Amino acid sequence: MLEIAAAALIAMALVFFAAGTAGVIRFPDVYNRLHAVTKADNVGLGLLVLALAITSPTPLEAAKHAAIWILVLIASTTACHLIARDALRRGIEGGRST
Amino acid sequence: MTDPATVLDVLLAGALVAAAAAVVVTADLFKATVLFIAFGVMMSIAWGRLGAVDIALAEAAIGAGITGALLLHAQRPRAPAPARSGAGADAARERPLVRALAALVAALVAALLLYALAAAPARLEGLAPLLRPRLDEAGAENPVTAVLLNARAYDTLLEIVVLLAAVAAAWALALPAPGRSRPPENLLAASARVMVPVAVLIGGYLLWRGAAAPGGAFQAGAVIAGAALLSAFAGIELPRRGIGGPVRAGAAAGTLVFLAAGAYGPLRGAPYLHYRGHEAERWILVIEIAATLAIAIALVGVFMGRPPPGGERRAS
Repeated sequence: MLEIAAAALIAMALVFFAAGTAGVIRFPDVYNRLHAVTKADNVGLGLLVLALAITSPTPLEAAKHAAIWILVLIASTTACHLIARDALRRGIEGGRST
Repeated sequence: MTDPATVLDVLLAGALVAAAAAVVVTADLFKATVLFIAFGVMMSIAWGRLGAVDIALAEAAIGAGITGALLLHAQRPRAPAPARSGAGADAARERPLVRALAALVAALVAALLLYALAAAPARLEGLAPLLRPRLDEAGAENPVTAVLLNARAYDTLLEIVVLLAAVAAAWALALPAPGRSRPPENLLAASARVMVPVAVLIGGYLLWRGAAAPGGAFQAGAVIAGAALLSAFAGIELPRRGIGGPVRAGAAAGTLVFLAAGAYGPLRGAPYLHYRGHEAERWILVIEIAATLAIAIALVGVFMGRPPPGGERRAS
């Protein structure tokens, strides 16, 4: 029963990862691409972590998975903001194809 | 119905080859470096698929992480070196003879590797059957640690010495430090305040668990080095004077402690680097702690490119 729920969560996570990757490839400028990769991929990772958490043998292991997700969130939001700020400083404007 | 794991493996192998080809072919150095980091991450997954989790951890931390950061750091804008005619690396890349030679060497190595792969027996026993009955003597439950720090301890000792030599050479070639210090980077500092303590904790955990599960000194040292680099990027400054001595001592500690641990054997009439059973556990832990410190200092030291202020002998 839990396995089916985990499989469904992983399938949803794959959808989000695919959406994020499609966004990185197809969006016109760096800001949109950052949007796609950080938001979609992090949600995908969150769903994946949830799937792992509900099927892990001990609560400690589930907590470790959740900690991984939180650390990835911190790292990716920091990196995203720094890249966006650097792009802004260089004068890259949104909406145009780069 | 094809085994899905095999599909994953084939895709992974294909992606590795594609990434490696992309790294070589890309003209832009920055893009090539980013692709190299991606290649390192996929290589880490490949090691995991092969069941070598210790190597996967080391590849992710050192191969993809620290090496990628080092390559990016080397490309930072700085004052151009005085131009020498015809000796630049760009000139070498463009000359067709050099490229042809490089392609020839690469093809030869690839052919040799394919031949070795084809000629290898289907199953390689390795050290596992020799090691398994004597694992409790070795002082570590993790067979990788048992081999690295007991059965083949000489190799690891020499690796630590090589790290020390590398950081000494890097520091000897140091350019003078830039006068101005890095401006504080508030966002990175905020994330560093969370990440650095967690990273130190994870490093300590990897070090401690290395005896019984995948982990060990190299992985722990790399994680702690990453935390130190994050602090450096965030502009969190270490005290300018006085830390040079302790840092140099820490870098040398790995080698010295390992040498001392080895000498314990001859004190009891046994060969050098000979320890067994309970004392093996203790010595392995002591060696790994010193090695973690030395590895972290070496990785950060090579990255920074110059020794920390203080602790040098005066010329006069």
